[in-house]
This record gives sequence, C-alpha cells and structure tokens, in this order.
Amino acid sequence: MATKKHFLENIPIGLYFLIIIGAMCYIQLYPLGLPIPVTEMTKATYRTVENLNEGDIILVDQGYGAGTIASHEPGFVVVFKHAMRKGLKLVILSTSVEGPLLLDSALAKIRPESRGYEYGRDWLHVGYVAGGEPAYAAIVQDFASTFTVDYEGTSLSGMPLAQELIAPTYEKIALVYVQSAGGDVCEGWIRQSAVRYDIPMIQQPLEMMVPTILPYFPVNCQGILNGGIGAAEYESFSGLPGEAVKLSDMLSMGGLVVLIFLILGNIGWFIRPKGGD
Amino acid sequence: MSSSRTYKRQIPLALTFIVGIIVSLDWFIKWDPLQTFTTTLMNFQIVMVAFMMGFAGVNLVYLHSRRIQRNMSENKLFDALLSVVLLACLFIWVAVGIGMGMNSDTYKWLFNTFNQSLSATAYAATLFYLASATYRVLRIRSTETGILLLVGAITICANIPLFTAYFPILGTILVWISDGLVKYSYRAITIGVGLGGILMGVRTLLAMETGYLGATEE
Amino acid sequence: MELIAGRMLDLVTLVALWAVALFLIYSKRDIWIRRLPALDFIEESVGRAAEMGQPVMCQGFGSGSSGIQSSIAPQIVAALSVLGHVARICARHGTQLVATMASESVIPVADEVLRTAYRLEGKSEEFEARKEEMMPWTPNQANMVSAINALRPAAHIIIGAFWHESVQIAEAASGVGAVQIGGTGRLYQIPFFAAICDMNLIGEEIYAVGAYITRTPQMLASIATTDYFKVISLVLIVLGTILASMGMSGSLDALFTW
Repeated sequence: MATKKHFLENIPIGLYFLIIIGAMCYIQLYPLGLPIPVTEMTKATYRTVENLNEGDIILVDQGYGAGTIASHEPGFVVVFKHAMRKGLKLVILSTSVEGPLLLDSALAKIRPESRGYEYGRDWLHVGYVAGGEPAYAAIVQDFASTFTVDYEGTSLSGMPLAQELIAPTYEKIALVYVQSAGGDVCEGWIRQSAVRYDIPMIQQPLEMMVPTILPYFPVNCQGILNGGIGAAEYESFSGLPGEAVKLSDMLSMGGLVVLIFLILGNIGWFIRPKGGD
Repeated sequence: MSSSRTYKRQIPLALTFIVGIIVSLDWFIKWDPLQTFTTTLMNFQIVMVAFMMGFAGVNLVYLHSRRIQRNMSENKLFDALLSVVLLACLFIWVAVGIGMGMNSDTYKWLFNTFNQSLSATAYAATLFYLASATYRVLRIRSTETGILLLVGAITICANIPLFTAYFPILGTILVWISDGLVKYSYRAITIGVGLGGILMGVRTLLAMETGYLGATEE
Repeated sequence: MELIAGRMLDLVTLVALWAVALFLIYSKRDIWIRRLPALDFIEESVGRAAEMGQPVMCQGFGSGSSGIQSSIAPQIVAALSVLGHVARICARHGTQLVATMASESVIPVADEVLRTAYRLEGKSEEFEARKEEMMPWTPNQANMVSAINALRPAAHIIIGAFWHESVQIAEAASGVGAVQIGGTGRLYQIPFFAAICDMNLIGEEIYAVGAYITRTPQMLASIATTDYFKVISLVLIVLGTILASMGMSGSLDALFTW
C-alpha cells in the first residue's frame, strides 16, 4: 500500500514555479555581480578565433530562433566583435527559419560600420538555407551553387567576399562557427565540414546539448561555448563585455532554487515512513 | 494495380538505390563530375524541403478548418475560436510576407512583437518542466538513482557561476565527469547508434526497410 | 578519378558490413533476438487507453527542421515502424490515435503508414474520417505540449529523434497521467527519458523495432550484423588503447588511417 507523501515531497508545483520566477526577478533588479570563471572549452574557443589571420573567412551558421535568443545572441555578438578586432571576414547564413529576422537585433549591438566593416567586402548575409545536412555539404563544396543572391535579394556576383568563396569553397573557409539549439545541426556541420574537409570549427549549442558535442572536442570541434554561460565566459575572457555577463546572475539564482527544491524533495522522501511508494 | 505498384514502390525503390550508391561513392572518390552531380542532387533536395513547408501549411489549414467546423457543430465555441485565431495569424503573416516582403517594417514588427516574445516564452517554459521533472523524479530510491542524483546535483552546481566562483573544485569534478565518463560512454553509444544507422541504410538501399515509402504490409 | 586519401578503411568497413549483412540475410539463419520489454508494453498501454477511453499519442517524427531527409532519417523510419504497429493495435481496439508530426516531410509518409495499418484491420473508413486530426503538424515544443494537455492521452509513445523538447513533452504527459514508452538515438535525451518514462529503448534498440515486430529473417540478420560489428569495434578499441598506451602512435595511425 502506498504511504502518504511528506509535505516536502509534495510542494505544490505552482508555488515552486512562483518561487523560481520571484528569485530570478529579484536578481534582475539587484544583481550580485559575481565573478565568472572561464572554462578550458571557452578558452579553446577564444584561441581558435585568435589564431586566425587577418582576412581569413569565418562561415557562421546563425541557426538560432527567437526561443533561444537569450543564449545565442550574446555569443554571436561577442564572436563577431572578436572577429572584427582581428580583421576577419564573416559569411553569415542561417539554418533556422527565424535566424535572418533576428540578425538586425544582433547587428544593432555589433555596429560593423563603426569598425569600418563594409557589407559585401568584409561580411555577408545570405539568409536561410533549407535542406539540412545535404545543404551544408553543398555550401562547403560550392558556395556559389547554393547562393546566388544575398538575403536582401542582391546578386552575389558583385560582392568581393562572395567571389572569394568560389569552388572548392572548403579551401577558402578558415573556420566554421555554428550556433544551434539542436545537436543535429551541430553534428551535421561536424560531419560535412570538420570530418570531411578538416575545416576548424567552433560551436555554441545550448547548455543541455553540450554533452552531445563533447565527444568531438577537441579533435573535430576545436571549441565549444556552453550556451549562454559560455557566451558570458567568452565576453569576460576576451574583454568584450555584453549581455551574457548580466545573465549569469539569473542563471545562478534559477539553478540555486532548483537545487534547494531537489534537496527538500529528498529530505521529505527520507523522512516519510517507508512501506510503499 | 501493377502499374500503381510500379510507380508507388518499384520506381522509388530503384531511385533510392541508385541515388544512395552515388552519394555514398562521393564520400570515397574524388571525381569532379560525381561531385557536381551530388551537389546538384543536394540542391534539388533543398528545394524539395522548401516545398514541403508549403505542404505542411496546407495541412494546417485543412486540419483547423475541419476543427472549426466540428467544434461549431458541437458548440465548443472557445476551441473553434482558437483555430480561427491560428488561421487568421497564418493568413496575415503570409499576406504581409508576400505583399510587403519579409524585410518590411510591418513584417519585422509582427515578428518582434508576437513571434519573438511568444517563442521565447514557450522556450523558457523548458526551465519549469525541467525543474518539475528534477523535483519529482530525482530521489535516492536505489544506488543507481542516488548516483544519478549526485551527478545531477554536481552538474547543476558546476554550471552555476555562484558556486564555481567560490568552489572551483566543482569545475574540476565536472570536467572529470564530462571527459572521463560522459564523453566516452557517449562515444560508445554513438558507435552503436552509428552502426545501427548504417545498417538501416543498407536495409533501405536493399529495399528491405520500406517504412519511408509508408507501407507496412505484411 | 581517385580514391580520397585516408578513407580506404571506411570503404573496406562499409563493404565488409554490406557483405556480412547480405550473407546473414540470404543464409536465412535462425537468429534469436532478446526481449525488448518496452515494445511488449505497447499493447498493454494501448489497452489501458482503450479502457480509459482516452487517446494514444505517438511522437518522434522529426525534430525541428530535421525530417526524413536529414541524418535522423533512420530514427524517423524506426518511429514509423512503431507507428504502424501501434496503429494496427489502436484500429483493432477502436482507440483514438494521434501522431504529432514535428517535421512536414514525414506527413505524407505517416499518412501512408496509417492508411495501410487501418486498411489491414478493415477500418479504412475510420481512418478517412479522422486522418487530418490523427497527424497534426507540431513543429515546436509548445505545439506538442499543448497537444498533450488538450488530448490528455492515456498512453504516450515517444520513440524517435528529439531535441530539448523531450523533457517538456515527457513531463507534460506525466502531468496528465499517461504511461510512457520512450526511446531515442539522441544520446543527450536518453537520460531524460530514462528518468521520466515508464519503459525505455536506449540508443540503437530503436532500430531493432522493425525486426522485433516483424521477425523477418532479413531484419533479424541486419540486427545481428550490427552486433558483430560492435564486437569488432570493441576489439579495435582495446587494440588501439593498448597501442596508444605503449606509445606506438605511429602504428596506431598506420592501422586506422589508410
């Protein structure tokens, strides 16, 4: 016969959620400003970008949507700024339907023109690409066959950066930077660029997706940013502060509440008389 | 019947085999015509996927039209209203996107005001489901669940800057768990899943696995 | 035309895999496959749904923008095998079945699977009457969760490829009291299913579904081939570990890169 659950095991879920929301709102109003320890993975990601030479091309898959913008946008912004500091060129595409629509928000924070970056010469945006892994393979083999116009519909034939990517494109790309909420996209890029053509790669999956990319680090994937936390670490390490640093306090508080309730639930389980479940 | 079987089964199976072999060979052989052909095939596939999205949109319209009809006849007005709102949003988005373009201010306003906010909210709900699952499921009922709880707690702590700033050892423990346990066990499972996937491919190319054609006849 | 350097081993392995698979398939050996309790539990869970008068829900047909054209196609095909099996049981018992489609590319295929399953049970009219409601398009987790909360299934079968929505949908189904059978080849979702679902298939067990259900010699032979090559992989891993530990990385490269 099932024994009655202790109160600590049976805290109303609504109350639990309210406490989480309250705690995170509190910390947003009164941030703690905690130091952010930088992991080896983030340092490896930074070094991968830092070791590129001026004029090298980074292929960026801005594959995040509106749901994960809080984690991914800071990462996109900080890597873009780091690339600008190094004089690198960026070709931006998106494997997420919403990605191109979110680029304006990121560019407003980056302001490439403030660094003398010219569209078409130093950076390019070609928009959404459908098709999954075969699309990645096609892009890396022959960029021009997949894209003839940019996101605005302007022909790429007049853009110097696009002309630098004529087939075989894999010989022209110095780094692939993938942002995605899904491990499938991340693994697809690893297979089609890193494994196939040995192109260096850095990735920013979501925090819960990092374990699936971990087996590829550091052989196939030279750097991994651990979601929003990784972006905060990168901002801190590179000296390019942004929005992710502000998020780290909220992450701390949310995690702390979850941990407290986890402990309470187990205390309740131990306290209640055994004899059933 | 036999001509139906030919175009519904024999032709797709033959196409699958031929395309599968060609694309597989492209991995091993460096030959420009083969590479060009494979790249073209992949570009075909990109176009097909884009069309499938349109197909899904049509499916959505059909589904919700029938739902509106059924709910109205059963007097479930609120349920019918939800479907009406969905269809209205779909048509407005399509109309604005096609009529004004996706780069227009109106489209971007619609996206930023509605889609972005609602998507972020729906995605943020993951935290609550995770929290609820963690609270409900992680109990020290046995040795295995105890280990699961311990590793889960360490992982939560090590991913929180609040703890790692003052207890850097947590980061070291997490790296040991990730690099020493998780990474290698995941590699082992990846090998198994990869082999299973290859054999699924073999079965598909040999027409033994016809699930992708839709038929599950005995 | 030339062979790409460093891929000869891949080619030899692939050819060997084909050869062993074909040999086992055409030799028609009697191959034993161990019990998969999760699959045996399907009929029981559908029966539970029939008794409670609540629907059965199947999910796992695609994930985000990845559909039957992507690298998760084997998992989707496995999910479709389960769907066909579940559909036949549901048709037999007269239980409502809803299979949410996360990827639009799977809809026509699932349509055919369900049509065939219902036809084999002599329930074609029932399928035609409700087919659109049986396959709603749910491209993201919010749609999937709302479908679960609206339909309140008694049985929730989540076998296929999932991203982070796995936790949400499993927990949502738990909240409505559904019994759950989970299975995925997506490694990082396996722990979530293991914790939340009542029964599980782990990793490549989902590829054995078709073989387990149909028990045809060809399908069983391909499962056996996978197992033989796993043993070979294990031997090579041990050999590689020994060579690397002895500092013979040159031999290691020569062994694995040609």
